[in-house]
Amino acid sequence: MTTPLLSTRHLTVAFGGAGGLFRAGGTVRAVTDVSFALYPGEALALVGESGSGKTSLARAILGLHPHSTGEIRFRGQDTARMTASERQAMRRAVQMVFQDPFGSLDPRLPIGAVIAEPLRIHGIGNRASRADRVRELLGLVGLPADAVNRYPHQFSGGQRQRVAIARALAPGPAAIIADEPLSALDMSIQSQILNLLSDLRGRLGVSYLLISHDLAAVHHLADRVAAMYLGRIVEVAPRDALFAAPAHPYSAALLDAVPRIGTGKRIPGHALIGDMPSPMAPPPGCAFHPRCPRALARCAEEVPALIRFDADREVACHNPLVAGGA
Amino acid sequence: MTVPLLQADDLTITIGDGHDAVRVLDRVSFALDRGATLGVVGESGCGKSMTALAMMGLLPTSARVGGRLLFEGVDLRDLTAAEQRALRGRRLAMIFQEPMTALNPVVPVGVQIAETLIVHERLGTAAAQARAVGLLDRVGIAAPAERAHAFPHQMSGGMRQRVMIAMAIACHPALLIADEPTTALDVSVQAQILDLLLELQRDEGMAILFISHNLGVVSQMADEILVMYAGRAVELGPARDVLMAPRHPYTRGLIATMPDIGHRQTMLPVIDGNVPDLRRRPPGCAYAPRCPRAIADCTAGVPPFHRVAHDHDVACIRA
Repeated sequence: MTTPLLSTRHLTVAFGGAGGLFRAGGTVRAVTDVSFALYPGEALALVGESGSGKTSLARAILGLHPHSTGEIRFRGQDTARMTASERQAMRRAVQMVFQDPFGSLDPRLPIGAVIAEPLRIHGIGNRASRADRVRELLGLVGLPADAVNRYPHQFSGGQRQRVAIARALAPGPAAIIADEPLSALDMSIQSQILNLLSDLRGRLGVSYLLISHDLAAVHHLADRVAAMYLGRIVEVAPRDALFAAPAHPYSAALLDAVPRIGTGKRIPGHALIGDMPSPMAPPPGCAFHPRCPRALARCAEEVPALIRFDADREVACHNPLVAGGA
Repeated sequence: MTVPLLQADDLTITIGDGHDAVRVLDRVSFALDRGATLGVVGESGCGKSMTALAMMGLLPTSARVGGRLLFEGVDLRDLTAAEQRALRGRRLAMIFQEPMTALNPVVPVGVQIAETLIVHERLGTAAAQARAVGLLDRVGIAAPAERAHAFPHQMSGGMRQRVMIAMAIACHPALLIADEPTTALDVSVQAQILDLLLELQRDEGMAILFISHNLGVVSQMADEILVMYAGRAVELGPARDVLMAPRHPYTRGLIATMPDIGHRQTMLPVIDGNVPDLRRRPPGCAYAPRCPRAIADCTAGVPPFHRVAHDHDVACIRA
């Protein structure tokens, strides 16, 4: 069996705890008991509403939330037991692309320096070889070679996102974590960036962990989809299986909320009711039960475990939508 | 023939003077009937928000407006300042993309809604506050009497948008302008807000000018769709025809680039290039440089709108 590139076991990320100047102690769990794996060359989408914990999970993987418990493994190795140089190697191998290409690029650095920065930080190559690498990366992401000396503000949102992708690719990563990489872009530009990500995966074999609130945006690229709700993964399934027949009522609601054309004017009454509960006061049992159209009495009492549902799907639900085969 | 509720004739907006002047809206015409929804769709810089701001009198002072913009048969530009104030907020109301920037952060939401009623309906404080609570209930906010005391930051994005809607419908407007009302929201909350707008429209009979960059969202709301590109209208017609039988290559491109769930393609169709800078709008048809069907004649002059089917107009010489 292949070793996952990145994986977590029972990962929990908590904030607060010690109590602050204006607050009594007490923790808020952004991620609760999450176990998942990202395999080499795979694109895994993490979808859920704001507050579902998807960004906190990504940040924990990158080591940006030191107060997490549980295990994070990189190529099978526990990150908590890594030496400094092993950790440095992991940082080089896992890169990030952010939502806002306006906020994530230093406005005072020319594009060439923006892209070369990770190479300098990781001590890769010399001046001349880095300049060659920058030119190669610009070509890979479809930007002209003369972009090197221009500044971020001289580029459109879509072009800036290409710069951000080039920067992420610079140190030759095995995985890219992309947090809402499309949502700040115009429609005609979104499909360009989706195609670019898809093309880069084919050429470089890089894995993606794609974070989005919009199932439609990840449909094109994802091999598997993990739906998150209030810090927990509620369903993980191959993309086609999830889109054809979601098993968790929350995945079904997310899929149903995707605005589609050709279905005519909408008929009110099918939207998921209410808001996601506050992580400071999670409901007992399944966190989704107060909004769930299929909730049973048991759902308010017992947290459903994420268990194998059929050959390649895991679901955390007491009353799933489609019958399990296994 | 009945007079449309809203009618734009060759509406043109220029911002700045002399060398720096930018024509952000170029001879745009459309009409909207009472109780109906016109969806306006296009990418950043296409002029869709400018149309809304012109109606609300919110254009920058350096803006010059040409053409006509008629509301209930009266040109909004002929009104005095006092007449405009009486109209806006009362007959004409607007909701924005980010309610946090439209709401006052230091005033409880109930008070903000009551203010509208005190100004426009001359209600007393107590009566206005009671109506404000009723309106919060109407837009689906649970425990409205308590929630009326909440400040905007204590609410979720979806709840804040509901507050904005409550304020907008307070005086039973004939027209609600909704400018990207769900863009900042999660898809699940977006669905709730779209449902709410449709229910209010059904009960109140108001017309909606629904502006969005998202064709999927527009298609769920609109009776008619206006597609805009680089400050010009390129296609206008019944929603079904524009979506199912689009005639302008730009509309076709937008529809083709939407991810089609349940149908995997190796590569998504794309529209090459970028949205043009309005200061350097390409000659002739502004879409020609990105258009797969462009011919030499496309750059010769701005293509006029012409009728291709019943109520369906397109500005393309190749349509």
